[in-house]
Amino acid sequence: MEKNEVLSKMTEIVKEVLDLDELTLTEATTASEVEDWDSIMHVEIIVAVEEEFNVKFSTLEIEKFETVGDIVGLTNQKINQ
Amino acid sequence: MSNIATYKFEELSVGMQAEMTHYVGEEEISKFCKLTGDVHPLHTSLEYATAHGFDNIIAHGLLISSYSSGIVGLSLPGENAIIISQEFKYRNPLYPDNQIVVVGKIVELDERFKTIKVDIKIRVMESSKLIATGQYKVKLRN
Repeated sequence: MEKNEVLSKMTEIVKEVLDLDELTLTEATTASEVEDWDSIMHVEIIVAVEEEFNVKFSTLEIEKFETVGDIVGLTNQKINQ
Repeated sequence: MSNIATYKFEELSVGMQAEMTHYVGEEEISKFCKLTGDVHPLHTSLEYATAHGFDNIIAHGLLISSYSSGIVGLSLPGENAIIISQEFKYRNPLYPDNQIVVVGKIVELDERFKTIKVDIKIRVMESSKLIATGQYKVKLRN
């Protein structure tokens, strides 16, 4: 799977979890830039990403996530392992 | 703040349980009607309810679910709880003038997010008939 496919699917996940009609995510996007993406919704988004791509992140990996690109990059790395 | 548990995530484990009992009468159903504005005749009219296959008026599904709120807010985990989500299935109607037993049980812990899942079962005390099942996802604040 290509990185842009992961980003595209993740955008759909975030839209669904946050109940947003319109959303554009780039690899540089941070949670604080997206309406309603708070610490509670962060849990839901990460769990949804794990379920969608059948991957699991460690506590350390989650703590290092700063941008959407970080999540997309590690997800892509795990599914292509 | 008395009678409220103060569990931290590290103190919780799968299998921990809490139980509460409540009486549900016509007054409780009537108050819920007023509180929410849901005055559907199944909750207000004996004649209507019996004409549609029930033995009496029935309690609102969300009224039944609401009796489980204290399981999370007072016991599992108590003070440190923030409810992320909840879902319920309704198995049988609950008629007024019944004592119900609400049992909560921790079925999953996720230490990465400090979240827990608590399964809920709500039964009529006298008959043990299952009224509703549900699950909360809860984040601990500590």
